[in-house]
Amino acid sequence: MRVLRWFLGLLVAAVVVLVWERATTWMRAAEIEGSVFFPPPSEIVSKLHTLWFSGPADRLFLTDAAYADLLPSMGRLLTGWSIAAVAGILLGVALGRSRTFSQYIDPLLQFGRAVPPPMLITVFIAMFQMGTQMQLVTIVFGVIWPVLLNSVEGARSVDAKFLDSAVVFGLTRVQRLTRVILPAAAPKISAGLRLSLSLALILMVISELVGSTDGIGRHLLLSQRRFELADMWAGILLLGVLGIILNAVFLAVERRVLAWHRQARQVI
Amino acid sequence: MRYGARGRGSIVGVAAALVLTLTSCGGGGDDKPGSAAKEPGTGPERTAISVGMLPVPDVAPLYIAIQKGYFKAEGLTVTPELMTGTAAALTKQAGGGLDIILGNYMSVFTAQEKGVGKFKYIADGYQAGANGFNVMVKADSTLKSGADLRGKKVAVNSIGNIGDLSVVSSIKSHGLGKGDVQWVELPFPEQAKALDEGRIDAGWLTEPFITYAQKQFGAKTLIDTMSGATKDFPISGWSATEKFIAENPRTIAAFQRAIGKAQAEAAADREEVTKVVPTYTKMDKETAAVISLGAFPTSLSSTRLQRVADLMLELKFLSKPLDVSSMLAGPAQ
Amino acid sequence: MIVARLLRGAVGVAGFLGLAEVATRTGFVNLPPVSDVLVKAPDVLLDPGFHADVAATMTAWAVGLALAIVTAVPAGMVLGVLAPAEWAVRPVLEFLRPIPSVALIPLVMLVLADDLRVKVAIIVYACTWPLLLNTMYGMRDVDPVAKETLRSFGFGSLAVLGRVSLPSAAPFIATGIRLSASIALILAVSAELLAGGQYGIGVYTVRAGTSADNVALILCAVLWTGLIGLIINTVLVRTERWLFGWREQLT
Repeated sequence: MRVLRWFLGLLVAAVVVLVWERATTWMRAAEIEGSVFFPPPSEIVSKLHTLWFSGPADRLFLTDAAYADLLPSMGRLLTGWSIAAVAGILLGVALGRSRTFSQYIDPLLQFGRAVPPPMLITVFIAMFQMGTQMQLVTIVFGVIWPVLLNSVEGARSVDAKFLDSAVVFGLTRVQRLTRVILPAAAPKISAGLRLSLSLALILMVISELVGSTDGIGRHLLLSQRRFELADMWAGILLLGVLGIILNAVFLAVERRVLAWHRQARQVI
Repeated sequence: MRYGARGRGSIVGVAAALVLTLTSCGGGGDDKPGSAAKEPGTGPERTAISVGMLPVPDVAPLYIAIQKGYFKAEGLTVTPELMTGTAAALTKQAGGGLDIILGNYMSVFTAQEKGVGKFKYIADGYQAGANGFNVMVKADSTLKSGADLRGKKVAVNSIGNIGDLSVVSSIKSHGLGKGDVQWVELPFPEQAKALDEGRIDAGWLTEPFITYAQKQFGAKTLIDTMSGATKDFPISGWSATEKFIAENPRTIAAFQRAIGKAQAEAAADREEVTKVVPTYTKMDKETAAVISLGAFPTSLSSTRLQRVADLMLELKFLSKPLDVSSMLAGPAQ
Repeated sequence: MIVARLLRGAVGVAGFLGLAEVATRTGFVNLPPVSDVLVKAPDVLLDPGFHADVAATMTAWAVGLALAIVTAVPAGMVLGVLAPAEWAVRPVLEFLRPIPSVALIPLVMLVLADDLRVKVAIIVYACTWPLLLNTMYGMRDVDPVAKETLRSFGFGSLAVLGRVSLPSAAPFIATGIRLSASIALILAVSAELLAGGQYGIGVYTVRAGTSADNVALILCAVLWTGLIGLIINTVLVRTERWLFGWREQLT
């Protein structure tokens, strides 16, 4: 079954790439208007390689452009996401455990999550220092909502029996938080974190479209302006690959952490 | 929709093909209405056209022509559409989403070189005047001349365009080139604040943002980039795809007559521009009255426009020479 | 109970605005004073130009969301029920999913050209994922015993789908729709900001850039857009509770 599963998936992927290659090559050969916008995938992949991954071995095969585009972008993405994760979980658990507190804040939160983050870029530029600070704020604002709302849900739905027995056993507030509430809310929080991570990739690109001196978003913007379409597609491909890697790493970490949490929960 | 079948092989195509077919029959499309002429051979082939514009003074003649009914007199209904920049608009135009745009010469020339499409200019639009495009620095900046820009962070609204071209052209005499300055792309409205904060060392601004920067932050002019080699430099003109021009000659001629009349009025009387600008931007009347304006040329001259392509080639914004005259389809004399 | 909740919410909003007013008046936060923005906000709302902008954005929102629902939900059902189909497309989907829709705007602009279609396509692309995944999970979550029971009574697969699978997956689908509704609004405005167009809240924001007090105007637009999003979300949450009140809320 497992083999069949992989086989089917890869087969379809291969067919898609093949059709794509043939169609775009044909478009170019037939000199169809607009064909410059759709370079063949083979060209995109080789562009991806020369742009970012053709560096020397002692630099992990990364080129200078990779250091200029890839690393700052990843740095922003992970920093922004981490800040949003910590802030979202802390605030979310607090809101989830205190109904009164959450009633004060709820309208503001509901409003905040409804605002399209790209609209706020001008506002953030006015409020914060342009560059990394503004970019981080944009990412954090855009990705905090799933973590926050899931943390609220998770913390709210902790079984009262667990909490009662925790009190009976004389657990302190901090212990109740780390031993009971967090483990119980972990699956929900984790789902929120995963959604936020994929959003962070989008927000990273958006935040780099204005006033940046480096990053994948800027690369996309510049290649669009100069009509270097293969460069632009290489950027899109890179984002796809990054998304898959981030998701895979997250799932691997999640499995370990949640397993640990389940054990911790059994101890109580 | 014309490109639907072609996009189908690509990644976007796979996802978009479905959308494509659905939007075309699912009520998503609002196809341009009433394109057929009443009487063959006389009126414009297409009566409804979409025109790409930017919220800047350069586009004033379009609104003069709309508001004074010049287009209507020619049997045209013009729908202005905001562009976020010429590069993006050209993409849309190549796909048939915009009929005519106020395209800046550099972007259109670059697109032509890269084979994005075949574009032609049907009328000149706007030409730089004194103090219309300045490199601004903050009030207490230590920068004294173009020579001091070496290694500095300079903001332009769009990299690889008229901003960096004119700045490079202005600092060339100091032995500086494109690579000696650190370029930051920043929309005009954000630049004054970035200057004030010291996040950028200099910003290439146009009106009304020069006026705002002076008023709000006391910014001062370092270089008037439209002097010397770029004096009276052509900025933008009305352009369409070769295909559209070939298929709709009478529509183009009608547009040329209407816009030509409006260009002439804008050129003759500044008051006309001042009046119309606040109607399509969020600029107030007082600002519109004091900003520095360029000129509104009334003819399309290949010698004048060849200057742009030649300077682009010299400063390496183009990789090979471009004969501009092949891209002109001016009004019949 | 409800009065107390509304009151607390109002206190929270008032407190936030008060703090923000102090912060902006004293110049601690470099934004136009909150009271100035609030005074200006009704003018923006009464501006007929802004009505056309909101109408254009909301049209794209509605068409995009509707299209995403009618395509992604059935697709999710098929993939949720037919495991081999899911195996076949999984790698392609996993690759497409993380690609930011904003990165695709220039290509979509070329292919679809028309303003509304560009926005709709971007919205459909982004909304497909939560709808598809939620529907797939919903279909898999169906109680196998209930299905078997119905089958043993001689019901066909269509009847099983209608009587067991759909009702049981419905809350998941509803959650997907609610998530997509806010994503669609965000994407509609983002597409307008990046691609321009004739009307739209994003187009308004670009135009506001030419004003001397551009930040105040943009904040007004943010305020109204946020309220629209808030209303949409509240309506959908209420509908969900009303339909599936007995179930635990999903996020």
